[in-house]
Amino acid sequence: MLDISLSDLVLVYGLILFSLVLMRMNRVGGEVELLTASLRMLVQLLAAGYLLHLLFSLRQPLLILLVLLVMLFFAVITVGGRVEQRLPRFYRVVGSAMLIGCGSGTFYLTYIVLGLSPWYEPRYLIPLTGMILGNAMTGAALAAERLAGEMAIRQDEIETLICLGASPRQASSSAIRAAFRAAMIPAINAMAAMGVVFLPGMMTGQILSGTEPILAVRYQITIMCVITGSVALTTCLILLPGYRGYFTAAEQLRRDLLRKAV
Amino acid sequence: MHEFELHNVTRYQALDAGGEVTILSQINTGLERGRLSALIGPSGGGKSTLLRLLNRLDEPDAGQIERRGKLLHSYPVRQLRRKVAFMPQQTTVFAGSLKDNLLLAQTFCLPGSAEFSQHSLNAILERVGLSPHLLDRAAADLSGGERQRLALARLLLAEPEVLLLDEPASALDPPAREQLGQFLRKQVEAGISVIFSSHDMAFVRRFADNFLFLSKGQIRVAGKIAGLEQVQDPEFSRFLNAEGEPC
Repeated sequence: MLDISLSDLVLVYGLILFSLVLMRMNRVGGEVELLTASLRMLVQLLAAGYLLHLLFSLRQPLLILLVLLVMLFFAVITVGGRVEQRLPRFYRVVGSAMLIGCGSGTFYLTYIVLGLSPWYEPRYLIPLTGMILGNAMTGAALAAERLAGEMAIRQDEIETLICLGASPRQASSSAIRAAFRAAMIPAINAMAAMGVVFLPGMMTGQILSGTEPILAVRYQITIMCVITGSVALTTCLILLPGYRGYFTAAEQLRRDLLRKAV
Repeated sequence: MHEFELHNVTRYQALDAGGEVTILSQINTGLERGRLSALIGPSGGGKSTLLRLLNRLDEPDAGQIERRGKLLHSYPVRQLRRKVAFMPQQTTVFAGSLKDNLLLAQTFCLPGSAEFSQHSLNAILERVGLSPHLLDRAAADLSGGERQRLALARLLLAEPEVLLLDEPASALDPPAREQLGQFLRKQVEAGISVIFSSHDMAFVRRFADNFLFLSKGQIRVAGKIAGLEQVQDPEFSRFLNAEGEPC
């Protein structure tokens, strides 16, 4: 693979300066944000690169597990930041859903499909987990936000069904279905557009680093299937305990929580 | 015999700004079985809250409610809600036809039962005063009064023993109010206890057997409609005057 030296990096940062000048000339505003974001990118990616380099050389399973847990922690915090209407017991529900949903997806991919040896091989485990977590994060945020919104919008409908003798699950089924559909849309759209509208990042990266395009394609198909499965499982694990938080033990709709959400 | 007995029932409501407000305070009363009882009083007096407590859509914060001598808690909650049917002020109809609405309700009201025949569905619609010709019509196209009757038809599928109705006459024109009143009287004659909230004193006088005047979360006056004129309570008099009734 062709090397990118530090002087090459300085050269490409010239394009950031070029963008800054264009923004300045057109009085767009936000030049400080562009500069800050580009510097954050530089620092964060360099730090991540050195950390990965260290992890790859240390090859300590416990340390790698700890890194994965830290990644999960930040993913859950990020979901919390993205969501305006929060479910009851938000962090507990989303955290455990992402742990099980992404954990199962990662295990399935690395242990059953790829047969990784040793199981903690960081060169594979960390980036693949990162991809699964990143996509599950989007699904989790959509599922959690949409469920809260649908429960608020449909509260009269839900209570009408409760009055007819429906269980909370039956009464909330429309809200759950709408949230499930919303959470799956990005994964479905990505699969449908892949290869035609855009070439995915992982596949492009592999091809640039010298991997045979057909093998890179197989990797991409594999990771997309695992991502879809992980998003579906994470979504389910958010929605099923999530709707229950809006009901009391006596199956009464907690309108006090929904009033705040509207 | 009482359908419901309330003992020191208190209910608070949390405020968005923090703290809470008392909606019902130390309510002690009985609601007669097989009668048409009206909850009357100014807005915010606690009428809707009281109705919601009777089929456990909400829970009292203190006190106890008994139904036919048994604590409300001792009934399985879904079974209780089928037998003590509640219709809110804003009725909800579901997507699809009237038939879809009735069949959807049937899955919850009568779980495990065979799907209703056309004849049974027609009979239910006729019972609430809707023409069987409307069965395949989109529920969204119904008028306010027709929607209310559809909501009643859905509740009647479970053959309830009590009907709780929150302001059922408020959105109806005079002929529809008269029809509703006649319908409610028929249910009482069939042995169903009917408890409804209302601002409409003409409707209450014409159809109810008993009344209960709630104001600021407390029962000020309760009794038979026949004794309404004899009530000596300044707040009650003010309410009747405000509703345009002679006192």
